[in-house]
Amino acid sequence: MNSPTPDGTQAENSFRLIVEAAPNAMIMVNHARRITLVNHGTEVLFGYDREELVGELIETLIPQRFRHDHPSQVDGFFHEPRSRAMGAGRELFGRRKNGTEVPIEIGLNPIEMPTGLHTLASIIDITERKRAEERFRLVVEAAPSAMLMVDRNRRITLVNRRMEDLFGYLREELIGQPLELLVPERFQARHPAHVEGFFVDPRARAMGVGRELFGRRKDGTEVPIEIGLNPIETQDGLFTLAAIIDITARRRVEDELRRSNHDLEQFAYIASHDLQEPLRMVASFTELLQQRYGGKLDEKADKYIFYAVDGARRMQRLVADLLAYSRVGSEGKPLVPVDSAAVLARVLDVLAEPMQAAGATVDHGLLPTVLADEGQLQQLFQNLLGNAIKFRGERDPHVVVEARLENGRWLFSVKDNGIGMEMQYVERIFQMFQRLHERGKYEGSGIGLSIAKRILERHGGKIWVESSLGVGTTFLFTLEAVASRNAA
Amino acid sequence: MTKPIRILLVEDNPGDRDLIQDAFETSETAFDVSVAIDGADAIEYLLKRGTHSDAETPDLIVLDLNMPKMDGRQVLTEIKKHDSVKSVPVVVFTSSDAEADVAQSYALGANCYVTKPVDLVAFQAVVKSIEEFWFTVAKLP
Repeated sequence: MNSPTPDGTQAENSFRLIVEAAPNAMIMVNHARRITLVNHGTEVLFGYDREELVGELIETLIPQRFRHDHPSQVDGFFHEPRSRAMGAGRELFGRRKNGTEVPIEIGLNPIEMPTGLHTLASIIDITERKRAEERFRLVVEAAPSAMLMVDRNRRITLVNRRMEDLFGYLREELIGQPLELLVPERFQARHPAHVEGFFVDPRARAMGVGRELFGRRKDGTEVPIEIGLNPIETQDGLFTLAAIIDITARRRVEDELRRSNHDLEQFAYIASHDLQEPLRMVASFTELLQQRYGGKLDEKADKYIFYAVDGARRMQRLVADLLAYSRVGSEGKPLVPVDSAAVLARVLDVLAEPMQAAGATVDHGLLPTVLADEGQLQQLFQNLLGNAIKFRGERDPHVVVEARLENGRWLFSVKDNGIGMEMQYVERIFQMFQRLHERGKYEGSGIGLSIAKRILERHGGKIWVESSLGVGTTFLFTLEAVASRNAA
Repeated sequence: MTKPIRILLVEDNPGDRDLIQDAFETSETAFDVSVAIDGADAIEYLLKRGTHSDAETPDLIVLDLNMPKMDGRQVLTEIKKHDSVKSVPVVVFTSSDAEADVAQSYALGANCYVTKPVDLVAFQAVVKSIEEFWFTVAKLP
């Protein structure tokens, strides 16, 4: 269908005014490819006055290298005149009066005039867009990780050099190919649905959380990868930009670390477990010596026996604590939903006697169900409450246990009114066998908080402390909420 | 005069043998404590074999779990096969506090399971309470 014909002087004047007012360049060309009308936008874009253009061949505005083919393309349009974009898929350039080129996009419309069929070309300067695209391409190219962009049909539209390095393909071998080229065969069937899922709900996220991802190289080998997905909205529609990280090295280090941690745990367990037996003999018989012969030898002998007993007992305590510490890892149970209020109630039961002796009271707010190893959660509460009672000040110990949701995790606080400590020492209290007080003043080897820290690390949580000397101490720790794990 | 109560102590650790014997001997009750140095020796004793042909069946067996040659679990299994000794109460007395050991011992017919305390005073107190329970509170076959 042709557009309505401007008919008569008044209509033609209106038409010229509309063309003139258009913000972009507009050029009318007749069947002989002569320019019959240009607007102000054309003057601005090409640097000609309109008098210089009207009557000239349209090829005036086309770079030399495209001129040869142009007449036949114009003929083609006149042969089948309909509104459409010119040169779809090709990059178009205009030539300015000063000889420079400008990237453009052209819309073509056939217009029936009294003087015959004309073409009205609407021209947009896409220099800025081209620049933005180039900037984007450079950023992608310079990215430290492999990157690729795919369109909605899962065709690869852009890759960077790191992508070539990682997968062993040249970029020409990737552009235009389906994304599945890079997906191991066993994942290929499900892959299109995953991609579609992303396009339906496009938001920046990590791909396949909780799953192990692999890429397939050109040589068929697989590489463990991590993928970050970003939706990119362009004039040509929605694309997905994927950043791909090769995690082979990290995987290896993680495996090594896991193995070495396990070995260390085993070592600590076996060492402390096997140390206990001979140590029990040393302790028992020096003590028996003390029981039976204390006061019967001279004063020095009594003193020596005392030191032997004391040393053996302290070593027993250390070995037992080391064993308890190593058991956090070696005897941990899977994390399941646990009612922390019930666990606290049990701890209060266990501590009833020392609490009563110290005149201690414990209050607590509403406590949630968390993901935990119940035995370890009990140990955690027991260590923290035990500390609060042990490091009491002048007042009767008063402890408040509370929990609140923060960023999807439970933040627990155990606040006491004890002796407190100077904040400069707080890092030390979580280290094994580190104590802030001289031996003998407070009982214990200084393992309790190391165990607490270890338990929380196993639970994916954290523990820290806020304290003020003479005022009190608050231990804070985080645990995963039940829902957050289920939702993942 | 009543005849002394006979205890068979099955224990491979000489230190523990001394500690346990010492605790029994300092009691007011008269005990006749015989010692088997491992599981195989215990079975010889109970079945009156070899050098133990004149042994008398004990009133109570105090049995360590982890021993060379034949461990406490095997001893328990073996005891329950023989009518002459299967009704003698067995107290498992071990340094293991592993849940699996506790469960297995009872499953094999142990009458009670006691963990050796690390502390001497507690150790002595536990031996005393074994003695008190089995020879004062409980009635033996």
